[in-house]
Amino acid sequence: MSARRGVWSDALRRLLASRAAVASLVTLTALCVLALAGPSLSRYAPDELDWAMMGVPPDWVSGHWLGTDRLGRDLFVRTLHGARISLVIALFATLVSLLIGVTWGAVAGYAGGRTDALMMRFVDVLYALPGIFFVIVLTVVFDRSPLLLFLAIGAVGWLTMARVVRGQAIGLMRREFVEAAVAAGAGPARVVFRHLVPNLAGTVVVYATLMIPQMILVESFLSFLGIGIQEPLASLGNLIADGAAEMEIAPWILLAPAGCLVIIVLCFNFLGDGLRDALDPRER
Amino acid sequence: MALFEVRDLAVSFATPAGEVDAVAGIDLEVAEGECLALVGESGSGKSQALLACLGLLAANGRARGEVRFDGRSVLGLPERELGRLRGAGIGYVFQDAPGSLTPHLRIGDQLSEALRCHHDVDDATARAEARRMLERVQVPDAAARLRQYPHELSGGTRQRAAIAAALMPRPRLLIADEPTTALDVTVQAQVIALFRELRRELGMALVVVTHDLGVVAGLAERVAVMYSGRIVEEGATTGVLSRPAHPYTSGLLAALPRLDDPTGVPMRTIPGTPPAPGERPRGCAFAPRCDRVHDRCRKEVPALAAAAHGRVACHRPLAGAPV
Repeated sequence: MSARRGVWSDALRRLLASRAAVASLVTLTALCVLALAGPSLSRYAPDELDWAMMGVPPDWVSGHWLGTDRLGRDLFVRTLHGARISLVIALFATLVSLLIGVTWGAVAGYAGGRTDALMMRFVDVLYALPGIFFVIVLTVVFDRSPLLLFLAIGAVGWLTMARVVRGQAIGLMRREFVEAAVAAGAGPARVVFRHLVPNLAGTVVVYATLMIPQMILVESFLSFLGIGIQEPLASLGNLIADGAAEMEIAPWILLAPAGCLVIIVLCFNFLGDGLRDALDPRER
Repeated sequence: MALFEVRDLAVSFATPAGEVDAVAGIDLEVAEGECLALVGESGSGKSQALLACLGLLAANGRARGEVRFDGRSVLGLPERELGRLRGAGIGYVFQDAPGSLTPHLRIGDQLSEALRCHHDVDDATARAEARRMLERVQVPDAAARLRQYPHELSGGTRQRAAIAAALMPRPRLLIADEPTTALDVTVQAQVIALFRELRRELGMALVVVTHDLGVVAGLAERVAVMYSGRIVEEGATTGVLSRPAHPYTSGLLAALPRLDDPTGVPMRTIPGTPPAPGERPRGCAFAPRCDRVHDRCRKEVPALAAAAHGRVACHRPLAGAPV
């Protein structure tokens, strides 16, 4: 039992006490399950054209619960499909930027002095370059694969993470337990990855949760511009782009994916807020 | 030959206001199995001197002089070699020992890690050893404690666990920086008793930094008194405590409150405060506060010279009248 009474279970209890966070968690889980299983609930495939029902509004009789687009593709299935791809890209992009950002920041904070200054100036320089521009160049030069997309987004998303982590690491370096680990003969790698990084977990988790919606928005933005996910694959971004073209005649084509995007982004933001409160060190 | 030898160690820090000397040349010597107490007010440079010996100074700190452990020179060793020396050769218990446990690691993980950093043993052996060590520092119900996190333990138990962690790789010298300051009095006594027992059992040398003269009397064979970055008196504990030769030592002893003091009488103190490291007077640093001061004290820094029970750095040492 004692093992469960860690910092994390305390945080979990506080998180579960926050109604907005729990509601978001439930909604997100439901959405994820739907995104994975949903397309099989409907009798239509995402790239299947229903010649009899082109551009129809939501209709229960035919099974087009959210209507169809102008090619007769079922919007319910396409939106869920798009949500799945958007979520996966956002998660991977966040993971990539976590990996780079946390390592970079923790090493800079640990090393201090000139190394730290050099590493952080590098971050500053990258900050000065417009990230989206960088991603666009990458996707144009190389192929437009979803894999590259999340690598590219992640590669520009780690900067803020590196700054946040470095700041925290510098604070932790002054704590006695880090000094004690050094005095006990622990090498640099052990100090950074065993004593420093796990202590950053709270901050990192909160920041990552708030980063996922940003990543979804970036992906949607790129797809909206037509350089992200390509037809016939659906992502929330290109679905919204489709819908925006016809929003005056057939608003449901825009509303379905846009609503989904809004729900996902809001939920992650509420969840991030809840986590931040739950892990706030002042509350410990 | 002494196990641990410090010769003319000086520590300075680069600050925006210029170079500040925290330690202005000290000599220390600890024989195998011996216990030395380093006494002095806050800011007298005790901790910095010892941190410097392990290469643990802050980035703006610089150490000069000579530190030898087991015949090997320590200052200027590459980081890799220092890592091997730290923990395995010289253990360090920090001032805030409970805070020196990493919060997200279970006690058992921390203890076995301390061992596995230095010795090539498998996890099961390390865990068994961790349990034995926790029992040795008299933590009750050691097996259960191994599975707990630091914040689930009381202050005293955490202190013991931190000491156990420092002892895991079996250092030949343990440096304990104010091991009792953060504890309440009953636990203090227990920790002192624990140190005494550990020395007897493990035969390790011990350097205790403290400003508690009770700890000195209870634990150390020899004592060195530091004032403003220098050692002002050094010798056998009984001699120094019963017949101090330096006015500062004598003042410290006189300032100890006693139970048979009449109530209502203000406590005896040494008037004034120690000089900041950058503002030491030209002569003896204690001169402005000393009641025996004369001209020479203001001009020349006194050198450590032989006294009745050891060495003292004073131009007009006390004759050794009992306090």
